[in-house]
Order: sequence, then structure tokens, then C-alpha cells
Amino acid sequence: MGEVIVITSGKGGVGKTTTVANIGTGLAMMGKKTVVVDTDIGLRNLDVVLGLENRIVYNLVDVINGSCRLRQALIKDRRHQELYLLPSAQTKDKSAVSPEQMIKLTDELRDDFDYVLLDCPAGIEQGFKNAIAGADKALVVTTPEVSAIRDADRIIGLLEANDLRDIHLIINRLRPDMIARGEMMSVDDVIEILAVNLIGTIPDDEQIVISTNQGEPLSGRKSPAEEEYRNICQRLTGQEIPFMDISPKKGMFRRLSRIFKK
Amino acid sequence: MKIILQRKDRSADYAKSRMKLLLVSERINCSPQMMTMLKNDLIHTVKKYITVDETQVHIHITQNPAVLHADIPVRSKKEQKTK
Repeated sequence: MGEVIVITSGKGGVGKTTTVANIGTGLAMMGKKTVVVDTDIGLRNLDVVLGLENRIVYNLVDVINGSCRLRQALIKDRRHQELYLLPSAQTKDKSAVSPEQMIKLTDELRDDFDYVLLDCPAGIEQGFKNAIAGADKALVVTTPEVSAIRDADRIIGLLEANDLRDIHLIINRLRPDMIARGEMMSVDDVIEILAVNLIGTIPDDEQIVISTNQGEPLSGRKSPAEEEYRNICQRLTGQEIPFMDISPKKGMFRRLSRIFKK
Repeated sequence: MKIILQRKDRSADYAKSRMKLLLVSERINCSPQMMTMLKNDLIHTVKKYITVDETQVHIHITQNPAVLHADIPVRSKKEQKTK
């Protein structure tokens, strides 16, 4: 029996899809049979981030409507043995699916996969309700900005109200230089405000943009953000991995030492 | 020079205190204005029985478990005489 994990944030543009792509790839690289599901109906995105946009035949709505079998809609990533994508529909809208149908789908996927990762749409409407319906665990993605934090708090409240209490936080796009200057909230600040479990701290990293351009998550070998995505995967499988040090002073030192290593 | 030093108030600290205030009130559905009204009502009620230092009253809510804290300094008889 696999685990169903929803990746959500409330606010758009904080890195949900990138997180799903990277964690999905990372888990597959660890030998875990993983499926990533794009639940953002009408705004399909996960396929391009994974570089699988040209291989879509059927989608999530086709599966739910019974137009095809689940196996027909799953796209196998040729670069990673254990990675599969269930793409979203581009032509339908969010009302095409109900929470009950999503629970049925995730239960079916759970039987075949070790991990089922659901990429949740932004917002708190129907799409969000669908995405969280069948999940066992939630990863909330935020950035150290007031707008993202406020939305994350709202999302955490809604998850708890829906009895989804296994909630973990990923803080994305951290900039150690700005934190050192006191012009960006630190990891500790965000944790103090949101009072939730931390599972990952991702530094702002241009390699993520490059990997996304190439449609190949986790392709950069020495990228700090990708390294931390791999750490998150290990934490998800129950390993205790210490958090990357992005505390101001040491963070600066690490950055410098990294430059010298290169 | 003084102005430069004072300008050093860091935006991260400001953001953090804003968020803490905002989220606490959003979680319990109580706006900052309502908190001010609550504070005034508290002062009004306590004042009926004892003399308090109205300018030093602070209320805040802590999380996990959510508790309303009110610090209401009481004036002793001595202080009242000197005033």
C-alpha cells in the first residue's frame, strides 16, 4: 500500500509543481515506484516541467470518466525506471471531477505505487478540495514572503478542518544573503509564525530554472536546491537527514566555500 | 548619521511581527480592531472595581493552546495619592 501525498500552497507561483517534479524524480531515483498526478484541471503544467508534454494521449479526466483505463493514461518516464505521470486535462475545468472520484482514483493508484504525489492547484476552491480528498499527508510549500505565508496558514487551517493532520512545511526560495542582512524572514521566523513541522528548506537556485527549461528535474549535479530536494525524499522515506545550514553567517560561509570548491 | 542608524530597522523583523499579529487574529476570526475594542472593554470593566494604569494595558493571544493574555497593571493607593 502506497502513501498518497498532496503538495499544496494556497498561493500560486511558490513552487508546487517544481516541488512535485523534483520529489517525484528523487523518490523514483531511490527505487520507489512513484506516480505524480497533475490535479490542476484546465491548467496543465507538470508535464512540461517533467519534459513529458509530447507523450500525452489520455488524461486524468479520461480515467475518471471511464474513457480509458488507468494504465493507458499513465506515462512512463524513460529516464527514470520508477517514475510515472498522470497528466491533467487541458480542455475541461475543475468541476469535471468530484472529491469522491479523486478518492477512488488515489485508492487505485495506492495499490500499484509506493508513492502517489498530487500536484494541487492554487486557491482553496473545488480543485483544492479534490486534491486533498484522497491524501494521507500534505506538504505545504511556502516562500519567506508575507503573501505566501498568510496563504499557507489558511491552507494549514483548511487541511486540519478536513482531518488531514499529517502536515509538513517546505520553505522555498530562501536567500541566505538577504536573511543575513535581515531583509528576508529566516527559516526559524517562518516556523515560529506557522507553527508546523518542517521537512525542507530550499535555497533560491538558478539550477531549478535551468532544469525546468530542459524538462529534467534533478539534472544539476552540484545544485544546492536539488540536493535539498533529495534530502526531502529521504526524509519522506523515514530517514533522519539534518537540515541544510542556511542560517545567516554560516550560510554565507557555505556559499563562499562552495564557490571555492568549484 | 543618526538617520542612517535608525534606518537599520530590518524589514524581516517587521514582516514577522505583522504576520504574527495578522495570523493570530485570522485564526480566531478576530480582527485587530476587535482586539482593540476588547482591550477597551476589559479596561472599562476592571476600572469599575480597581484603579488600573490604562496606558500600560497589553493583551495578546498565544498559540497551542490558544490563550488570551491580558496584562493590566494595577495602581496601589500610594501611587494614586502622588498622582
